[in-house]
Amino acid sequence: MAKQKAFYFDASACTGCKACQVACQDKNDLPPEILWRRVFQYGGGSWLKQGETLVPNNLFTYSLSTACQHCESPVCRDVCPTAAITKRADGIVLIDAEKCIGCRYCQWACPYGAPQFDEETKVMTKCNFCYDLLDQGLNPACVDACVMRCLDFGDLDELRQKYGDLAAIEPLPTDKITLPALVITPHKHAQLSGHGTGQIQNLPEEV
Amino acid sequence: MLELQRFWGKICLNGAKSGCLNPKIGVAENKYYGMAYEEIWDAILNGEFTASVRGKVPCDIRMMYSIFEDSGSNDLNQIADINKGIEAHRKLEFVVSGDIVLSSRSKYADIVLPLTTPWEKAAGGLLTGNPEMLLCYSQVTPPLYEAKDALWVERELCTRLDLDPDEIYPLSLEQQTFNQLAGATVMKSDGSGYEPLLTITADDISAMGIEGKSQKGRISLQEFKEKGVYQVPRSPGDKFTFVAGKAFREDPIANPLPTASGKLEIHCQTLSAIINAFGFMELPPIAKYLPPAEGIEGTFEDFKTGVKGEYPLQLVTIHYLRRSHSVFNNVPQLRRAFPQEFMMNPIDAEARGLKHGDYVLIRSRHGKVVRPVALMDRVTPGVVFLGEGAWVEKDEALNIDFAGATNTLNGSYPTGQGEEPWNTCNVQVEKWTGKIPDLDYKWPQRIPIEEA
Repeated sequence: MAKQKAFYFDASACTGCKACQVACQDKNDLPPEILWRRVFQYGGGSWLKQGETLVPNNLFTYSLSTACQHCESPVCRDVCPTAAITKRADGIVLIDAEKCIGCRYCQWACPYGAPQFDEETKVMTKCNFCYDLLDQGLNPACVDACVMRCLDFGDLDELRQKYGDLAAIEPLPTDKITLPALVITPHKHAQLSGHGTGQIQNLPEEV
Repeated sequence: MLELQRFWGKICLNGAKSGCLNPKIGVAENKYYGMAYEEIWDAILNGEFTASVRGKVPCDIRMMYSIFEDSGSNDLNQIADINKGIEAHRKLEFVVSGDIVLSSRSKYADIVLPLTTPWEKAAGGLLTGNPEMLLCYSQVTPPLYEAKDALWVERELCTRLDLDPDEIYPLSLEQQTFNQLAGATVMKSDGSGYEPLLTITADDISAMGIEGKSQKGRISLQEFKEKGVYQVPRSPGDKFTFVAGKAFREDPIANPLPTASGKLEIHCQTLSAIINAFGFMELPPIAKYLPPAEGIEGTFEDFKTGVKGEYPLQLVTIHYLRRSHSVFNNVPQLRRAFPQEFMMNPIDAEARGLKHGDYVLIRSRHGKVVRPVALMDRVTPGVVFLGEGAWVEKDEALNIDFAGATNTLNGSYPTGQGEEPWNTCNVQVEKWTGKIPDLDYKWPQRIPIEEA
C-alpha cells in the first residue's frame, strides 16, 4: 500500500531567507507572480511605558515556509468542477492543466493559499511535490535549497513517529479541515493556530 | 582623471594632474595618497579634497573611469548622498563604466562597456581572505554576448593611447592566476613555517599555456581545482592556535608590545595621531562619546529641553535579503520575495496615521524616498529600518527616489579614516499621497535591446 507523502518543516531553525521559495520558482520556471511555496513572518508583542522610556514586552517573531500540504482530505479536489485535481496513491495532489478551466474555486477553498492562478495560461497551478525529482530518487527543490536544513519530506507516519504530530501553528489555519500531510517542529515562540496574538508581518503583496 | 580602479598593473598617464594615485602603487615614503570614497562627489563638485597630512588639496576632475575586474562595485548607489553623486556625474565631462548589468553607476554613465563576470573567465580564479581555507572557481561559460574582461579592455585602451600593453600588463590573466596558485603556501603541520600548497607538474603548466616552474606541494593542482577548496585540517591542541600578546602577558618587561609605552594603552596618543593624520577629525587619545552627525542628538531641535526636530527618527540601514548589498537587486523573483519595505514600530506608525502596507514618504536632510511600510513590533520605537542596496530610481520632477536607495537618505560625513556614515541618519515619515508606484517586481528590467 502506498504511503502518504508529507513535508516536514522545522520552524525552530527557519530564518525566513526564502531560498526554498525562490528555488521552487527556479526549478519550475515560475514568474515572480506565482509562489508555489511561500514564506511568512509571524510576530507580535508590544512596548510598555516605563517612566520616560518604552520597554519591550514579549516581542516575538518566527518564520514559516509552506507550499501545498497534499492534504489527506483535499478540499481543492472536492470543489473542482472539472475533476482536474486528483490525489495519487502516494498522496501527492496534482492539478491537470488540460482539464482546468481556471474557475479558481480551488483557490477560494484552500485554506493555505496553495493554488496559484497563472495569468498567462489562465489555469491553476500549485506545488506538485517535485514528483519528477522524487521519481529519480532526488529531493524536492525546496528541501535541497534550505540553508538551515529545515525542510524534509517522507512518509507521513514515519515523520510523525520521528517528530510528533503537530500540523498547525500560526499563521497556518487549523489542521482539522483538510488534514494536511505536514509535520512541524515548532519555534520556541510558536503560537497554536486560532490562538495567535501576533500578525503576519509581510506586506500583503509579498505572500 | 579620477580612477575608481582596483587592478594590478601600472597606469602611466603623465600629465593628468589629479594629485591622486592608486594607493596600490603609491610611493612608499608618502603613504597618504588616495581619496576617501565619502569625499569623491564633493571633490568633483568643489574642486578640492582632504589629502590627509597634506591638508586640503585642489583637484580638477573631468572624467570618471569605473572599470573593475569582474565588474565589482556600484559606487553611485553605495556611497552616501546619491543626489550629490548624480550631480557630480552630470558635472563630469565623461563617465565610462564597465558592468554586467545596468546598475546605478552605469545608468548615469556616458558609455557602458559589457564586462565579464568571474564565471566567464577562462583563467578561473581564487577566493582568498580566509586564513584556513582557499577556494577556487573555474570557468562556467565562455563570455556571453559581447562581454570582455577588464584586462582586455585596458590593453585595448593602451593601443589607442600609444602605450605598449605588454609593458603595462606583462602578465596575462592565465599567468596571474597561475602565479597565485603557485605562490599559495600553507602552514606546515608542526607550525614551523610554510610550504607550497599545490603540486604543479610540467604538464599542468603547458596545458595552461603559461610560464612557470613545476613544484611539489601538499595536494595536486587537479585535485584542488576539482574539489574547489582546500581547508587546513584542525584538531584540538594542534600547532595552529595563535594567542595574541601571549609573550607580553608571560613577561611584559622582556616582551614589550609595539606601542610607545610598550604596554596596552587605554590612553593612546599614537592611535590618535594615526587617525588625525587622515585629516577628517580630531580623535581624542582616550575613548570618549563623540556625537555622530545625525545620531540621537540629530533628532532633537533642542536636545536639552527634549523637543524633537524636523527629522525625529533614527534610520538603520540594514543588509537586506533580496540582495548582497546591491547585487541581484534586479532579479524579479527576488523582488517578489523581498519587497524593500520600510520598517516601523506600530507606535510610531499609528502616531502618523499609517497602516501596515501604506505607501510612505521618507525624508532626510539629503533626499526623499517612497516605499510601502511594514509595521513590526520588534523595531524599537524611534528607530526605523530600510534595506541598503536598492538601485536608485529617481523621479527627477518630484526629486524622489522610488526604489528606496538608503544613500538617497544618507548624507556624507567622512570621519576617522574616511568611514561611511551609513547608520547616521535622521528621517521623518508621512503618508504618501501621490501616485502609488508599481510593485518592484513588475518594474521593467534594464535590458538594453535594440529597437527593431
